[in-house]
Amino acid sequence: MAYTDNFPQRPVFMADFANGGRIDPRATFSRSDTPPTYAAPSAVHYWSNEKHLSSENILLQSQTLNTTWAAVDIADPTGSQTAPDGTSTAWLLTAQTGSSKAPYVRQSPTFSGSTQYTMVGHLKAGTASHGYISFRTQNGYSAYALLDFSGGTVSHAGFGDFTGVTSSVTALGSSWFKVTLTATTGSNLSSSNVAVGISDGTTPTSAGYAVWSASGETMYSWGIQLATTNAKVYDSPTTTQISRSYASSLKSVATAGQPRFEYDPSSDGQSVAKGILIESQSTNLVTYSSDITQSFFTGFRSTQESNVGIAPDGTLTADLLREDSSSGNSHGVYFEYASGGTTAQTISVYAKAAGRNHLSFRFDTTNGVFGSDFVYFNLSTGAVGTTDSDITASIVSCSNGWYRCIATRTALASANGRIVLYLADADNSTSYDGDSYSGVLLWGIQAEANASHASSLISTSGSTATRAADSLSVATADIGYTGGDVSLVFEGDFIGDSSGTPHLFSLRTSSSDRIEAFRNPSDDKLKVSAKADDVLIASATASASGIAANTKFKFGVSYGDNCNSSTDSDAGMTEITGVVAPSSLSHLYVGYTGSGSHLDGHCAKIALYSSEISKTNLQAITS
Amino acid sequence: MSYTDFYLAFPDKATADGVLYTDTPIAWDNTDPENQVVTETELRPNFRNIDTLPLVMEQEGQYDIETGEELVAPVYSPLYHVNVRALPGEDTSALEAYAVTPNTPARVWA
Repeated sequence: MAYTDNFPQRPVFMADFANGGRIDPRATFSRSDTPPTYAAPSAVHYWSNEKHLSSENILLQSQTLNTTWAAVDIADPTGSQTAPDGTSTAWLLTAQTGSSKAPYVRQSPTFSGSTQYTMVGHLKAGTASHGYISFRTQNGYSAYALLDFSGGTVSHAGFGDFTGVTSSVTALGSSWFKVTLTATTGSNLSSSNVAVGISDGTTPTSAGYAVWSASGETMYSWGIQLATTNAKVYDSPTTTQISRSYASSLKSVATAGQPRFEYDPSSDGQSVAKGILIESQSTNLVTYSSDITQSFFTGFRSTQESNVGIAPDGTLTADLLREDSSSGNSHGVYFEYASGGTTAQTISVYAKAAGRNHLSFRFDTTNGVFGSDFVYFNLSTGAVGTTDSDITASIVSCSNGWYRCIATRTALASANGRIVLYLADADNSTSYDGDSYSGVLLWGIQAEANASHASSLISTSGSTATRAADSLSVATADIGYTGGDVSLVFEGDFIGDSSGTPHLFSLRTSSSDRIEAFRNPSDDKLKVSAKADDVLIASATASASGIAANTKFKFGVSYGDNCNSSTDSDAGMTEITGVVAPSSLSHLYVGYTGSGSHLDGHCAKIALYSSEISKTNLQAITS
Repeated sequence: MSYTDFYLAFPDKATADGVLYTDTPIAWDNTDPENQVVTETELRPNFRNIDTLPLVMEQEGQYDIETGEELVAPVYSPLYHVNVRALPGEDTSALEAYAVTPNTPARVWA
């Protein structure tokens, strides 16, 4: 049958997953998830088009305590003091002498009612025995955290309609302490105040400050933050404007088998729709993906703080890996997992700078699984740094300073392999003087054996976990096509380089009657293949160049009297003459063969035409 | 959709493959149309969701924190462990002879 030149022809099936964000009711999608509950959300994740508050500081001049801040019973604060991060940005506060003094600095942000706030302050003793942080929404409605410098202990209390008051203290280096205070406000909001003050042990009153007889006691302070994110890390320095940053949300699916329509988190997280995610089965071999305080991890010359930062999913579950004060040495944490064979192993970690801008992975020599190979990631610029030759690495921006750092290396043995995560003070430098303050936020740690790319996050908590494969298909009888002349157009991308043969689609009844398009693992070029009555009728390379990972492409193939194919990447055109399309094709499988060889990428759009399309029109469609 | 999860412990890989997969011809020599010869086969899964575990550790090893040197060797299970999440309609009768109920599964389905 001759093809028609009436362009554009209408497809009998057209699924625009990127713009439509839904499954055609004639199609079937499934993935064998464990049904999520409120207590146990799904471990299966995807990049949604939703956003969450990722970091915040509603205080001004968080490191400049003589501006905006008003000094009460305190001499002018003295700047240029050494701060916890080693800079000269801390302040010395000196109490005025006299009875009934309330030495503190304060400012008045705007609070909301019935809202949980967390205040973070860094304090260091001068001659004072105690220091405190506090906030109030009205006189008589407040909370404080009082630090005893000698014991390194903190006490707290709330007044009026404040509820849920908690506090914590963390000893940093050089006698600095990080104090946090969390409380939920009530409904009395007429006279707000945030205070950082000096005390002799006298507890602050319900007014939010301590009154005592002072005689020139001193205290250092730096880095004050108040946020509704409830982060316990100081991640939002401010000057003349408050800081408030939103980030793309990496959500877990709400229902078992929910299709995952993804958006690009590195843009604004909303305007670049990537389509439906089709992934093969994969396992996260890290038993606690987001808790480096578990015994699965072993720290060295570092401290691991649990649930102190806002993670890419919007929850307070990011952990801080913080260096100790060891000089001229490395700082980090490591874990081990079963490599399962001499295959490609991919490690991925979501990371955000928290004083240290560089993170390094080491594929360690333990048990002979790897060869001691390093890769460095710059969490400030979002670039991969020095990379040993046996490693391939990439870094993906996840917005508001979060990056997914990815590294792949082939295992040399089937045994427990060790992965070391190092803090680094520069590219290719893991040995340096620690300051007991700086570190990196970590979350979503994943180790995948027999995988040459990082698949979507599979969260774990106590056991390794396997995400089942995605399956998307439509019966051709339901769309008015059951065989004969046919054309297919596909738009999408691959997540990573793959050692398998990821399929764009498979139109088939069985392996004897099928039309398929896939990426050839040897050169990453697209290939077309067709069989009719178990006779190979077409097999050709369909793109002149390889299709790179994370690059959207268009591809079309047409079968009738001839086999034509075209891609947008190189305007390539393959033509095979004398082809007769199979007469019976029962199912269109999108992103896999019906049993495997998954796309591991996104299908933005797929269209099936029940006719042959001319070379010219096929090129026009895919251009 | 409801699933049935099986934690399976086979004596060896060959037994597991015999239960979990079907050896299916995929290529033939058609030189003699009357006597086609199978030239290639592949193992096709009998279940959509099959997850083969690596060696399952029964007792963890002990290692020197600094050097990584093994102080006490880990003890591994001699069995071949596979998880299957069976879909409705899949015949699971052959699995039941190998099903176990671990107190703490080494791996679960997400």
